[in-house]
Amino acid sequence: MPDSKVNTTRDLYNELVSELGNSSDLSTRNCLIGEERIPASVVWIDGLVSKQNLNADVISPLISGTQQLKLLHQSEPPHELLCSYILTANHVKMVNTSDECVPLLVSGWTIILVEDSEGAIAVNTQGLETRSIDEPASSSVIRGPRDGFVESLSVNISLIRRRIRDKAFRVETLTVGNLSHTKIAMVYVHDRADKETVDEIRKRLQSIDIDAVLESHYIEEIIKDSPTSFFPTVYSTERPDDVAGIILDGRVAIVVDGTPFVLALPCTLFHLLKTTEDLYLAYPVATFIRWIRYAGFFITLLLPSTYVGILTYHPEMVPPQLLSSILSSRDGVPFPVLMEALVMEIIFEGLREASIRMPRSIGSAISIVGALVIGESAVQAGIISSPSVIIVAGTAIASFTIPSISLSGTIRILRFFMLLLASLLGLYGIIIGLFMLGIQLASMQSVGLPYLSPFAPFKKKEAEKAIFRVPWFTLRKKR
Amino acid sequence: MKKSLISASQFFFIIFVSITSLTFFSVPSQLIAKVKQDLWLSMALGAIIDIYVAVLLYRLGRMYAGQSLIQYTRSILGKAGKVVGLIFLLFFLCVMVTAMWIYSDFLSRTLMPETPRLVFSISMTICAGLAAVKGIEAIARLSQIIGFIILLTSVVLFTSSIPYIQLQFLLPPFENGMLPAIQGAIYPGSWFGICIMMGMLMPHIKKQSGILKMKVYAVVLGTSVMTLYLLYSIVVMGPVMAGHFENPIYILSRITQFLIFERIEVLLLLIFISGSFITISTLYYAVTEGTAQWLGTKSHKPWVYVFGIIFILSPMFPYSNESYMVDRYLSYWFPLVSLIIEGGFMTFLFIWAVVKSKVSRSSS
Amino acid sequence: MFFHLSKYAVILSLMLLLSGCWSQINFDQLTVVSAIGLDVNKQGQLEVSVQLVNPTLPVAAGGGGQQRRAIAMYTANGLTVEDALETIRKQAKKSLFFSQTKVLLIGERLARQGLDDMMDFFWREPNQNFNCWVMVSKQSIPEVLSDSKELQAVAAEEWKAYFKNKTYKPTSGGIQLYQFLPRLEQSSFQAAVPGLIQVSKPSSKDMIMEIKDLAVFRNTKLVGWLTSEEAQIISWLTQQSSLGMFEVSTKDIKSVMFELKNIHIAMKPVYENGQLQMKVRMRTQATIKTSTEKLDLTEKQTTDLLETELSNAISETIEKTVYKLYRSYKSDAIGFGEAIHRKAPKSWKTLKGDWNNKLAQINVQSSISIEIIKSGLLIDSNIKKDDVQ
Repeated sequence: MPDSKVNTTRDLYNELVSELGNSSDLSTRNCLIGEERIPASVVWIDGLVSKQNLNADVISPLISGTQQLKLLHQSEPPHELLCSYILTANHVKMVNTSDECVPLLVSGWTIILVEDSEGAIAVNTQGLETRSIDEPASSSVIRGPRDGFVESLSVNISLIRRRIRDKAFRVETLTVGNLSHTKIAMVYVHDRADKETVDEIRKRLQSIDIDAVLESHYIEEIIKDSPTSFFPTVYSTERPDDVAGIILDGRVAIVVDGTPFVLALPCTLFHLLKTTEDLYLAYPVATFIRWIRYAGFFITLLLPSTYVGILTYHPEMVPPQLLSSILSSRDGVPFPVLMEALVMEIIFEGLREASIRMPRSIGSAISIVGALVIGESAVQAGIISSPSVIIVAGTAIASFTIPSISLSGTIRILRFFMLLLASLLGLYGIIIGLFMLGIQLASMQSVGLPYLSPFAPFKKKEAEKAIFRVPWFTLRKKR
Repeated sequence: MKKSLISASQFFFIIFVSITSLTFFSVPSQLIAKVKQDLWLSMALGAIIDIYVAVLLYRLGRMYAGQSLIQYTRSILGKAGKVVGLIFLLFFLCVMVTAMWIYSDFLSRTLMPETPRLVFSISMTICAGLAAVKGIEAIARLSQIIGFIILLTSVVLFTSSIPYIQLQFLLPPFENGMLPAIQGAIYPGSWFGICIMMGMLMPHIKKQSGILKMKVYAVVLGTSVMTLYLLYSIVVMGPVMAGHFENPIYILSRITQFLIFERIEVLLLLIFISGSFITISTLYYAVTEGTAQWLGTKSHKPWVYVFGIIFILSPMFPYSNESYMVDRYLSYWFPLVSLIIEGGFMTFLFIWAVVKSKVSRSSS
Repeated sequence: MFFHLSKYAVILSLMLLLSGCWSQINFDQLTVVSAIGLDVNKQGQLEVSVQLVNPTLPVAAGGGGQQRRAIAMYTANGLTVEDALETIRKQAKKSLFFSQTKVLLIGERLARQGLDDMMDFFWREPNQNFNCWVMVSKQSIPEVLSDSKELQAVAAEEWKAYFKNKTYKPTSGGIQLYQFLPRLEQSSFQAAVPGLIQVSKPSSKDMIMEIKDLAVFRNTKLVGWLTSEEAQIISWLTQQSSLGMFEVSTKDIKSVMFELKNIHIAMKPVYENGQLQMKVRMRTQATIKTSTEKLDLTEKQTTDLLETELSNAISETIEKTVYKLYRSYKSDAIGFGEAIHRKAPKSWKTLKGDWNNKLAQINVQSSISIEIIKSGLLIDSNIKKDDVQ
């Protein structure tokens, strides 16, 4: 508006309505306020505001609280009087133009327009419907807190803050998305997080240019290091205790409004293989489970390809008895070893996808069908040999031990890559594949932290912590 | 371009891995057959030669801080340094081609017979080229993991073959006098000496003062592990049997059993293949960076592609199938040339540098 | 971004094009060769036999009821081993897998002719098992390989298990290919190979085989046999085993079986009056296994008697065995030459040339110290009759 100074209330209202395109969820309540019975309009968007707050904090004080009040010709202008004297909402703001009004309106504020006075009052009546806090579906624990993040930014931050009640806890909010105007918040502990890291992440977040952010993965893809790599360099979690632990470690968490998945940076390969539960279990148990997870990582990546590689190129490596029983169970199987492994792996991936997409009640049926049909019948019919079923099942179990969904997906893809190499060059092919993978991983970084640290480059104390779950009492003593 | 830096311990592992893998592939065939049970002396002498070269390189590197071998050769010798630098580069190239040739030849005869040697050279060049493009930092990080794996497997292999040991095979010491052992020292000496690539790595190392110590540790550890391997193969098979084979360590791992696995030689090979991967990538990086410095180009990356073709073709070089020529080259020309370059050139360079600095000090 | 990725795709497809799966093995055609046999046929041609394993499911997996032959035997003649194997490959139409061969069986006739040209195959061939056990068979090899019956379906597996068993080690004298091959070339330590000998009557179809005796080689030729008792001495002297059983029966003691443990033995070359002597020193612990006579070990006299008798008997056997080796077979199968080589490399150089013939002049002296220790369930290592007390 070029002549915004002489903006009358009526104009402002019309402007608002036309800017929102007569959207039908725009509600208006007209009323008369003050002794002078000045006409006023209260405007809000349905569904974004909490009705209760609207009535209690805006409409009821406006109507019943101003009946004995002279609004005009007072020492303060009527808007200020209303703000400071009548409205009981926790956040009130004066706005002048429709450009200021619209963003507030669409984020759940209520606009009060009073006849014949300049500008309008914006009142915070935000009240989005949110899910109640319950256990996160993507990562459940046996022991540990059962709360998970929800879709609301403020609730999520409160969940973290509740765990770190210290003045060093910092939240920096910014808005991202040209259409979605999504709020994201950077959360870290001031004196623990490396300043350079925080600055780098802030810089990356500020340079985001995107239409809409519907999930935190949008952000993840934009800010992650080595975007072409298959490996995740950003950690994501649904658990507040996990995030609390991360920021206490000096890393930075990014909370995105509208999704329960919170991102964390920097993130190395070994961060992806740790779980919060490690810290809630006795240290020998936790260490043991962590080793199983590390083994699971390699088994998922290498078991099928090693099976194919050894059988087709180096059968002499198989112990004699084992070789004899593999040979006999492969007797009459029509497919070559590679095909067998490949087909079974793909069927398994299909089953996995199917059981995720299915409603839960059918999901279990799928697994029964899968196990029975593919496993039992195929072996009995002599189409697939039982060792390869064992290999695929072993790989599947191992892949479920990887806690991070994104990492497990990456490894599952690379497994096929390895299978291909093994079929071409046997174990030599696998080791060539590992070199490529290794050099790729060794050159990767996550916000300045080498991806394979603390092992390459080797840092003794941290490596110790990565291999063992070091009990707290030894850590105390050292300090 | 930000200078990539590696830590002293990463440097340690690069040297350690290079020494073990070069020894594994190149030295045994010449050493065991000729020196037999006294090879520990040859290995020790080889290590001493290497440490001597390392001391020279270290002093030179400290004198011309921040400069690589190729750069300070030029600073010391001026115009003639350009020629000497070229000789160093050609030597690196020659070592790499020889190492690649031995590597692909050995693998195509043991690990995967019937597979052409070209397959091994291509696959290794691709991997090493990728590593050279990614830079020394990535190579150094990977070397830590691979070095650790080599150490671990060595310990496992040594313990699992204890039941096969017959220590009396090591007797008598110096059956034919000390001479064969001293002559034998040129084989490990010439191969260990490749660590003059240390001259290329030195400017990349964070803490300059600890380099020499790390280098000496790495050489000592590497040679002792490999000496143990060689002695083990004699102790298990006896000198007669061990002397017959091209690579007795490989045969040793075939004879040894580990738990229920009777044939673990493929695993051993794979582990040393990963060692060669580190060695070849480091050399690759050194050659390309050296060339870039010699010609004054900004980045070493284009040279990766240029040299890649040479390395891929290394098993195809003329005479590579004539075992007479190959034997003559490996047991005479190669050690001779490399000792002249490593020992001779480096000593000359060092003396010249010292004299030059004395002269400039006295004149000023 | 995808152009960036396509770089890797190009590299990968390049590798795909280049590799033609050269060394790939058709796994389903793979047939494990459990034993190789070498012999000469009547025409003097080399005859190679292989025992192939037909894989069956393990009994635990329900494979017990399978009706198929567990093994198959193929024989072919040829000029060299490889030549004959080529013929066998044509007959069997399978890819023969030598990497897990358990036994190498050498026919006695071939062994007596000499193995000079046959062993080259085993040095050269990359796909073979240096850990397979070597034996010499007195029977015709094809028969042995196809008809010998053991509890396990594949006889060669049973033989391998026998060699690996510690309790049989002293008498079996098992030798693996990687030990056998170099000894064929060494005059200072020559090969002695266990024999595979049929025991059942020739009338029955199944052959029961026994692993006993020791075939002694001079260079690459078989020159004679040693009995199992002598084989035990060899395995002590070569330090293959430190266990053993020894029976003493003289006029003083009827028959006592001793079990020997912790045998320490050393051969020492000594020059006496310019004459090379071999001094054998042995230290061992003995326990009584069975006895036909009443022995009261609580009496010192008895113990002393037993000790002297036993040590005399052992030293006699050692000397007898060594003389048999050195004088009649002229073969150094106990590695005395190596002992000299290690001890006195200089004098070995003069001896080396004609070592086989010098063996006959060597005298053997043995000194044995024995400690009889108590064992078994009996209170005094003795059964006393009630009425004696």
